[in-house]
Amino acid sequence: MLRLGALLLFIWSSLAQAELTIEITQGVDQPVPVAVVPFGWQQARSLPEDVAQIISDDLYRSGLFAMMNRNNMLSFPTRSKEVYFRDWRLADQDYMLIGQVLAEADGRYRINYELYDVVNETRLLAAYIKGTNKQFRRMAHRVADAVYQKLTGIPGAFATEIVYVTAQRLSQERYNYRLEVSDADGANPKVILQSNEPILSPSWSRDGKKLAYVSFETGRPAIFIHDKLTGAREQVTRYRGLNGAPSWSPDGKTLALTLSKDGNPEIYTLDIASRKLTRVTRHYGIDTEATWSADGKSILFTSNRGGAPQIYQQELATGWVERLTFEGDYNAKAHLTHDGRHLVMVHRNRGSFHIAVQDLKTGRLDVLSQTSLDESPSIAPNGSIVIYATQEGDKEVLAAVSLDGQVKFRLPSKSGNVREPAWSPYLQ
Amino acid sequence: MSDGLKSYILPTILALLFHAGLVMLTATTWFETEGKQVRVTPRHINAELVDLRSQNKAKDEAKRKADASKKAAAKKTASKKAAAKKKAEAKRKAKQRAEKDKQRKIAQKKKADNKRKADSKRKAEAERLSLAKKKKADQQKAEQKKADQKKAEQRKQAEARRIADQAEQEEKLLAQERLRQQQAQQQAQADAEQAWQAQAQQLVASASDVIRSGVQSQWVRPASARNGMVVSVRIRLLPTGEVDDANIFKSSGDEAFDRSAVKAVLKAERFPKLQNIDPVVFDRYLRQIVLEFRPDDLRY
Repeated sequence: MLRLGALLLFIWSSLAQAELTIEITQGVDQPVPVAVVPFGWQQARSLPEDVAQIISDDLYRSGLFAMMNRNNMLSFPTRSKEVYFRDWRLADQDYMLIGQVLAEADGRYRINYELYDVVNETRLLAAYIKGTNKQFRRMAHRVADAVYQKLTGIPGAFATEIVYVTAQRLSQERYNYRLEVSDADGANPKVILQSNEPILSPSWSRDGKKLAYVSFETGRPAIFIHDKLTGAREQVTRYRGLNGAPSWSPDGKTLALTLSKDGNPEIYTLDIASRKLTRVTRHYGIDTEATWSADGKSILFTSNRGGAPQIYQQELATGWVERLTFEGDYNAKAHLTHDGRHLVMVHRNRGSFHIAVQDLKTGRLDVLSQTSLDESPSIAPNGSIVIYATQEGDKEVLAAVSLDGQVKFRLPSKSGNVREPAWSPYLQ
Repeated sequence: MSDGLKSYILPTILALLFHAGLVMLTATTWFETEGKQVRVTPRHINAELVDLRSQNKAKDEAKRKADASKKAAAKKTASKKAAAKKKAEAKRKAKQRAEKDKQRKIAQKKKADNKRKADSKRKAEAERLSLAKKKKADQQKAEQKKADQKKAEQRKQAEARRIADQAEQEEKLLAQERLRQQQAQQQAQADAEQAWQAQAQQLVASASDVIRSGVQSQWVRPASARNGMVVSVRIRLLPTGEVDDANIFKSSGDEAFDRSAVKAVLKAERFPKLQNIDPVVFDRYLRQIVLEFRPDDLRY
């Protein structure tokens, strides 16, 4: 009996030992090496864009990937049978992307691409995308989105746009203000509106088709809605005093805005179809910079009702108000990530303004930017990157930082000062 | 009866006599051995018990004697008193006696008759009694013999039992000795095993560290990774320390996260320090292991 027990114990222990488990709780925060091989193109005339380079640049700017230099590539495979994993493994690459551009009979173009896991020697993706010769950049961004999603588990946001305001000084007292839209990488800038009076606070509708902004073109602030495709404009407010900080509701039917028509700045909602105005806040303090919660049931705003500017949240149905920020003596211009978990805002710490993110679940606040006078944060639709305006020398520029603070980069510099950026939602 | 049968009578009687003689002979030897054995068995405890009993008897005897002498003295004084009384009454009684004599004579005659009758009766009774006594004695003798036989038998059985017990005892001791030896051997084996286990555990622990650090230095978590996610990867190792195979054993549900774990193992590729490990230890503990990827150092 004893011997049997001992035997069983031994068997059990040896079995248990066979399942030796080692816990891995830490990793490294280093970019994943990826090779984007130049895409094949069989015809003599050159293509308007280097698709592989655009994809490579997109991935690089995410901060998550280290791109392989083309000069170090031993071969340029464009088809799966031309891929020799050993070469790429020796070059210390984890993933590789190959592809080719084909001219279609209807004059359009087709891009085939394949993503490989070099270490596992498996194909992760094989797909194609079609477009005109003017859509090469957009097509390249879409490929980058697909690759990014496969490699990170999060949808890519490269095929998106940014709207921003530039200000160019013409003379002592004359400025030229422009509302511009560009691709998320800063390419393809297009002017939407030019004015000699200030333009402020552009905001995207959730379908990415319309913009709302504040323009002083009538001599005093007014809110306009601008159809991006047709260029049609519509003035929706002309109230006495302040008309500012429009923000689209998630369902696209309502604008939240700041009006001072009743005395001091308060938050209102405007039903766009019926033009019905509803007052949301009632406080002798300043309430402004409204933004919507993900479910559209409450509004977040900046208020100095507690003495210093802080972020508050008010439920629309009940009027219940809750203060969200407590760290620092200045928190303003709040934006929520689309999952509603993280609050991005301007945060003053020892006299300088930074972009900070607060985890609403844990309450933890992290300062993301090291520059000073950081302004107007806006979050990419996939929640990975925050774009914001900052000061470089005496120039206003756009910068971006990943939500975990690991990656920072400048957007290509424009002529003049660039401010008030707003990242578009996912575009169809 | 035929003549043939008659001729068998003599041999049969002789045979019977012979057997009877044999039985007698063996019977004596039996009793002889019994006698010897009786001498072997005396016990101290019995003797003590007898001593105690005899002491008690002596005491009792003394007491009884003392009581008897006391009683005798009392009787003497009582008889003296009675004599004085008797003298006084003798005169009165003599008178009465004369009157009664006549009656007594008649009664005596009657009595004598009765007595004669009773005597004959008693005689018969006595005869019957003595016969019964004799019978009883015989019976007792037989019983005694039977008891003796029984006793002898019991003794014999006891002896046999004693021998058996002794043998059993010896057997037991031997078995115990054997068990002790076996246990000692087992203990030695267990000790050796334990020592080996301890050593193996140490080796496995250090190997685990090697594997852990090797994999951690290669683990690049995807953007979708969050603290609290868990993916288990079962890996097979070659004795050279090379990773032979790595498979998702329990998925986290996030494809990119799962892939990052497998990739970390495959990129770690080889743990050269493992080839110095005792092959038996390697075979038992390290050939197939499970890596549990469970980030706790991420921001979210």
